[in-house]
Amino acid sequence: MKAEWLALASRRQFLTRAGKGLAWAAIANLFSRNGANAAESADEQAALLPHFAPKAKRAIYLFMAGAPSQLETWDYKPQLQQRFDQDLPESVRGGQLLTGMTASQTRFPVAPSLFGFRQYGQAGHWVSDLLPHTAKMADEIALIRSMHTDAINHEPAILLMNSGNMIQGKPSIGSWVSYGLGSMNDDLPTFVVLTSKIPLLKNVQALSSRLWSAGFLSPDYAGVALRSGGDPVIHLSNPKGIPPEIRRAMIDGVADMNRQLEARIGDPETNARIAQYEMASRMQTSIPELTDLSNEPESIFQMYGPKSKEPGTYAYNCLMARRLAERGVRFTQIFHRSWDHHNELPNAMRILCEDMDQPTGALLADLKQRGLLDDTLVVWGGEFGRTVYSQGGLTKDNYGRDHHPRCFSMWMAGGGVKRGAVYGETDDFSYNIIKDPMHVRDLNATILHLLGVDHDRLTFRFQGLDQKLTGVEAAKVVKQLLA
Amino acid sequence: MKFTCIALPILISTLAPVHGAPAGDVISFNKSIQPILSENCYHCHGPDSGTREPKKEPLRLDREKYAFNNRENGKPVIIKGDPAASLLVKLLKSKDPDEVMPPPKALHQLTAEQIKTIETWVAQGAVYEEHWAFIPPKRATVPTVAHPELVNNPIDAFVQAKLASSGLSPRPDEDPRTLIRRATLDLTGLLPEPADVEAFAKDPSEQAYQAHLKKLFASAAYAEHRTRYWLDYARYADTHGLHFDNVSSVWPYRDYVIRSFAANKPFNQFVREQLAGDLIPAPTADTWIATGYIRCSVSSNEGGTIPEELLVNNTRDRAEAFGADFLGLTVGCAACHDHKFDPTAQKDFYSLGAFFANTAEKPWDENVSDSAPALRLPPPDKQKDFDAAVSRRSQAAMEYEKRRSEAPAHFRQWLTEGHKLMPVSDKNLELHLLLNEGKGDDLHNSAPGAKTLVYKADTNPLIWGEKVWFWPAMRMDISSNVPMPDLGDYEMSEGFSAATWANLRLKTANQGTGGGALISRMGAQNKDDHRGWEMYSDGGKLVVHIIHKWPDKAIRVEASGVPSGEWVHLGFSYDGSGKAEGVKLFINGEEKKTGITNNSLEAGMTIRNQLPLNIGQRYLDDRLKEISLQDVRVYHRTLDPAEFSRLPYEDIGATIMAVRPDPQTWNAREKFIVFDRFFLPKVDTVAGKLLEQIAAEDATIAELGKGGPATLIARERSAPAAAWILNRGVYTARKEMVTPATPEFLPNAKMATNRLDLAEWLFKPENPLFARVTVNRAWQEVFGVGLVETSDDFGVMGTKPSNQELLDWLAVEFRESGWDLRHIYELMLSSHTYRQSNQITKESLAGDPANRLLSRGPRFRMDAEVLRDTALQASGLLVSKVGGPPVKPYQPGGIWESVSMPESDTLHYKQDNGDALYRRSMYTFWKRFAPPPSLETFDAQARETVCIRRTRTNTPLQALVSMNDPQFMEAARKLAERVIAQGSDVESRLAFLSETLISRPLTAKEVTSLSAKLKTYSDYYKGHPDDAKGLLTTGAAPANASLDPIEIATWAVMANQFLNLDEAINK
Repeated sequence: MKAEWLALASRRQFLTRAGKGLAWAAIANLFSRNGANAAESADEQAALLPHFAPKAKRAIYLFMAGAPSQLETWDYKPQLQQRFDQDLPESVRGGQLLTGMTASQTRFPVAPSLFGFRQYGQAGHWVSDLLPHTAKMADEIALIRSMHTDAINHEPAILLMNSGNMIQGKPSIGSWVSYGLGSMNDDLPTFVVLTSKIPLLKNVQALSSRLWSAGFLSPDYAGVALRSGGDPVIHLSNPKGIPPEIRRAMIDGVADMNRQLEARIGDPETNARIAQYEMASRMQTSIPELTDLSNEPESIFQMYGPKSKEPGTYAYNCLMARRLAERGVRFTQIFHRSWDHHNELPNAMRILCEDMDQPTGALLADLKQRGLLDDTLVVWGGEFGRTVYSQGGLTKDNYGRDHHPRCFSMWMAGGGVKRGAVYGETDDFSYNIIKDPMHVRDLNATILHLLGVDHDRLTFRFQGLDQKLTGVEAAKVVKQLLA
Repeated sequence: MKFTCIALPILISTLAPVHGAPAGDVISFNKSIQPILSENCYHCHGPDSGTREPKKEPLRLDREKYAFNNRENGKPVIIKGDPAASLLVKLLKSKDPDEVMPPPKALHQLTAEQIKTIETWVAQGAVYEEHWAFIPPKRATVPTVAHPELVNNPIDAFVQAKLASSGLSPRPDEDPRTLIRRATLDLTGLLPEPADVEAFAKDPSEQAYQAHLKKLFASAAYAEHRTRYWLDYARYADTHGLHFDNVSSVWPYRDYVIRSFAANKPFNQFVREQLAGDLIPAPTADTWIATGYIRCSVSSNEGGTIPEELLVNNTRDRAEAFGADFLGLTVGCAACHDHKFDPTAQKDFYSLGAFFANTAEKPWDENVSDSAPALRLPPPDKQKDFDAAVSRRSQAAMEYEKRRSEAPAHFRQWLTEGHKLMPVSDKNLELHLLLNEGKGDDLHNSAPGAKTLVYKADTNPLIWGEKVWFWPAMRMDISSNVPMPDLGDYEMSEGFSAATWANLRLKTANQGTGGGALISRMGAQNKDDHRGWEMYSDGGKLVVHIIHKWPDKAIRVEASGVPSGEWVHLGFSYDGSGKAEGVKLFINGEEKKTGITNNSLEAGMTIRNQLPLNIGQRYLDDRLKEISLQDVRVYHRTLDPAEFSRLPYEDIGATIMAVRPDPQTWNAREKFIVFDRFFLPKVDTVAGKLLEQIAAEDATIAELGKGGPATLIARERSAPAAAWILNRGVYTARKEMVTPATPEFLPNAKMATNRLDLAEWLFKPENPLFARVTVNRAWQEVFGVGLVETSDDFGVMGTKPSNQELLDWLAVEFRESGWDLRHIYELMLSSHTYRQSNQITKESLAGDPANRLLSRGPRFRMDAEVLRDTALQASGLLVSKVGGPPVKPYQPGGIWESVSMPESDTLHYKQDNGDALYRRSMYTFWKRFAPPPSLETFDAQARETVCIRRTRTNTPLQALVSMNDPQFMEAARKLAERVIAQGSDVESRLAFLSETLISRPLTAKEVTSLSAKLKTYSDYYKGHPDDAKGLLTTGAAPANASLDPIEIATWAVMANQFLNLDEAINK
């Protein structure tokens, strides 16, 4: 109710009610400190977010678009080695829907992982040899081996992961969090998106701004994509020939005229605009400060790996995610692409994991050494898993894997997460879940819970329904993953 | 537990004493009761049958006809006039958590006041009312008001009456300059010429105002501006919107919309053409182009996608768009379940979808810009011939339709002349699978004297009903097998034949050819050298193999021209000669020229094997991907071409005649088989000629348009339309088959069977929504917020109209004016309501904070496109060309690359040059994955789905755009050059800036402070001439070399300042 009121109330009404003039005008928008929380009365206070004490104040979501294979990363299946090139038993496949790509295959030969696994840390997580750096942080990680989803193709599956629905038009998880919890800083967006340079020009899945859009929520809550080339935020820099002092003078000139206008017409919206120009001016300082890495010591770059100085790489983005976390950005999402390995999977996995592993491990270690991991939630994963059987030809050192929505692996680390936990289990073929299935909506419910939000109560009235990130079907917070 | 107690007779006895009806006002169901019920009760006791409780005896409260049904205890839950005896009231008031309604876990609670309201309503007799928006609008009497001098037309009277009821009164006239700026922006999306402003300021008469409006209505900019709104409503964009997100060419549709608004085409005609421009009598190229509306939905070509899923998604999108645009209803909610709040049942939604489920495009867009059906437009010199060919085609099509409507009579005549439908003899017919079972894994062999009556599919279940031909068809799943071991074991020396109706999977870009056996008594390569026989589909070819040992001792015969993605009849006949020449191939009953690649069988060689006969695959080999089949036959004899010509339709028609000789008793599909596919094309020579003529004109139209721009159009398939109710919206979860029908809860539910009827249904006076929704959108465009604020939702959960009498008056006026939309804009802009001052008084702010009652003139931030266009206009850069292909003005680098697949043809943004940089924003190329970023910053939408109302935000990112975007900065410096040309006097320069952008002279105070600012800028650039020169380099337009760069830079910053004024950004 509260949320609806906020969203639908005209800003004028809002300003009048809130009675906070300029300050309100400013925070009612992009950098809303309070989000859905703008309560004035006791009634509204009751609905205040967070709903309970959050374990994590902020989140970093590392999204691997294209769907990395669980079999080469986190779901260790040693028994498969003996079954090389044997047919996947029909009893395992069980009439499963296949994509159009393997639909005509007459055989479904089992392809064991080409890569070895080792156990790491006190937790004893089995981790692929492709992920040595992430593995070093094993004790921070709660591993989920029993993720499953409803979609078998990328577009709907990626959308489902990011917005809780396969159909366009729903808000992304980051925008739900922005809307629910608001900002923790005055100079930067609440929800920042970083897309990463493609490490391998194959198997690339499309992204689109719908993945970080605010859907039916106000566009104020949409993710702001920081760009790697040119201005990090579009049109942040003054045009050539306009120095900061002239821009300052010009903004003052605009404000002066606007105040005279407000006196004449009396539209509170005019005051809001004055505040937005001030905010824009502050962003012109705060964002270059954010993206200026000159103060980072060399040791940090070494941690994040050789590509960490190159803007737009995944390594650079991981470092940026830490800087955003330090500066109070609520939700950061990094997109990494090219994980769609229908063929020549081993070679592609080597390249992709090399690009992804070290920065990921470094991000965890770096957050930890700064004490930030205690209240920062880190989530890693893609949109579905991959099949145990080979798509196309299978040889000893080459194979491919098709889409597999029935099971895949993800992990969480940081604020409120049970360190070293393992949740869920798949069968010997990593084909079906045999214990503790965790649907996408359970994941999202758990993420919100860690941020202090009850997924059932973070709602927005749209098309007559109290819409939720987790949708209409029951979702559960997975307690076993909580510290 | 909580729910079942409704039906239990045991009730708590501690009820408060019943109060009689209070003396106060009568409680209105719509105003007071429905909001409480919809919010708190409808989830379990509303329109959605899927969630209705209690399961045993579901209770429905949203419609009167259900709410008073007797329950198990013999009484309704509401007893009119007697709240104490009404179970409903008792349960609302209960303190028992197991009994109270709503149950605690629903997280909804009624306040004491709400319960009281319901109690009173029951006491007053529990009178239900239909939802206001489902009652057809009637003109209310125009009220008499306190200030008749402020009434220009009935709009003002309705508004004033509403204001008076809140203790408010209208404001005086707006300043003429502000008014003329407002009107110009609202009608054209552009600024007024300063000279026009001054003229009107001198003579602000009614006559002068109307003359100015007339001029604006006549301008091309008016049509462009209306079109710009329509593009949001139509979800127009220039890419597919999924996967590769390649270019999709439908911009000629956008130009059609411009032409329509320019001509002030009656709105019903405009809508009819978009919904059914292919079906209307005498369609023209323009009405075909209009159907681009239907094709504006997103499309995909993703490799793993399943065609039925895509078709279902397309249909859903179109039904949703239709619901949002023309009914103002969120019908899409009923895709998965009955609507939670509106009476839209799932059946209504899918029946509505069925209107759009029968258009002729393929499920995949094939990554091309002209995914069929598309029309290519001719160069100007061929336009006349093109139009003539379209006109001839339309004439022929109309005559054909007339002939078609007379088909039953001609058919009867033909029968009386002694003709009849000739069946094909079922002699030696050994296998006849009609495949009309509709479910399960048992397939019935209906051949007379069949050896086996039922064959069973093993491994994977069969899939039924995705495609419909003579009846819902069967599809072979990935690894379904239907082995028939006792059939087809023929020798080379025997004659045999086989045939089937098939619908082959479309090939997509990254798929194999999709080859595989249709009917086969043969194994894979490693199985006895392929010994056996089969009919095989190899890409676009039909192939027959008769093999002793492949490839040396074998016959292989092929024919090309097999279409995919549509129903085709395929067959062959073999004469037992052992020669390839003895094999004849038939496509759709016609013998085809064959190519022979192997002809090496020798006498005495056997082709027999131990394998079963299979359909859809060879034994243990390639399967045909996703093939749908019906009417599969194998004859142990040679069929002659005359027999084969009768197999596809006539034979089956003969069966229909045999069962039911009277055509009046036939269903749509039976008529389709006998009349459309047999009698008209094959028997009726008049109809046959017309069909030939249509085909010939189609070829001429294609030839004349060759190489011209393409535009996507809609075409109806020839087969009757159908759709399925899908459980939870999942494309595989088919429930009931439905045919096109309008929602049952709206008037004239049975009148429409195709898209044309659907359009006509909208225009009926009984349609309660169409006119209201349309005038409400127009109101929203002009006043910022609709009379119904939720302009996309007129349903139960939408906001109530702020002034229903006014809305209804306008709706009726609109309809009775002959759907003259311009007349509605004229009324709005002529009203005092529109022309009143926008100054906000204390009373107005307190009593009408959001201006919903129109206690002051409209004032709000302009849309993204208007901001960019007005900046270009002020700078003199705006190019006023109307229509044409989309353009690519400035855009920061890397935006497309960061989201696109490397294979996409919209991976790199190649900026245009010259005039294309300065076109109106509505022509900017719209990539759905990454819409024009500066426009998106100002709340423009991605156009993946229909957008009826944009949000209007106010963010710092917007300030960055209007300050720093090269488009805005370039506009500022070119505007500066225009300013300098006004002469050297600072005051007149400032006046020019002000009059150009905000249409008013400056106050003395403003001039003083602006002059001081100017000095700051001027001092700076005098000291930094390099910065001045640098500033002149933003944008492609060269600086005027005859002017001093320092002076240009100084004034460019001043112009930049003006472009960012709240007054310049607002209308």
